[in-house]
Amino acid sequence: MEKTSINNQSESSTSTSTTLSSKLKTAYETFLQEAATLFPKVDQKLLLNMLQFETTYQDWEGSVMLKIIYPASISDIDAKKDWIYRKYQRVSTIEENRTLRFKAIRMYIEEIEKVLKEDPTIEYITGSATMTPSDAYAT
Amino acid sequence: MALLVVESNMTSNKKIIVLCFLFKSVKSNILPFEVMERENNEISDWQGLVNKPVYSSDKQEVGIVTAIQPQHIVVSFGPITTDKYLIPKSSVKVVERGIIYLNENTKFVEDNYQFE
Repeated sequence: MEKTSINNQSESSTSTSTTLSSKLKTAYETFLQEAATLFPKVDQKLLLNMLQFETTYQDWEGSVMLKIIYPASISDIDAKKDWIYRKYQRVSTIEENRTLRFKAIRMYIEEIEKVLKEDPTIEYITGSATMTPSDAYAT
Repeated sequence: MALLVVESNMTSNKKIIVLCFLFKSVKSNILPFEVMERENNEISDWQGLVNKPVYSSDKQEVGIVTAIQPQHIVVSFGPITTDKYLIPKSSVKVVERGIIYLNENTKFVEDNYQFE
């Protein structure tokens, strides 16, 4: 009788933990889908890294090596480079005649949202977020 | 293989267990390709394409899928100075035996999709 009771307890505990983990997984998948819907033009890995830094460390300085990618048909990439300079006082490098790459600080998700709103021609934003601001000339 | 493992003197329960195990192991190897391959560009499991090779319509290798994004797939080529391509999901023509084929040829891909 006792054995049965212990077995039941163990089964119930397993089923509870399965329910909890599946709940957590479902919530995470929903969250990922939401992120992709809200920011379809942003590298999802960059987005999640920025979100983690922003929410975990209140004093995170928003250090991000950003790559802004325009459509291949863009004719005025230099104008975009000037726009970035006026906005962030950073000289970006041009790659493959369509990508602007620069190191930014105070680049939070809100700022990414603003950039995308201001320039709807942007095709994609990628890059990497770092905990602390690194050398301005390093990659 | 099943014939080698299932011996004649085994009980029926043992046979069932061995056969189930074999079925599961074979199925786990085949399923990823089954799930990925769909006609008419209907790919159900985009994440399953990561690390798969990408070829242009003229059968030239473009690279390997490194990331799946909401609207694009990111493809990288080369070990050191990696070329990166941002390819719209709509450009994927078909996935056959774990190889992704694009609608466009190499020149188009290099002119329009390379971003780094």
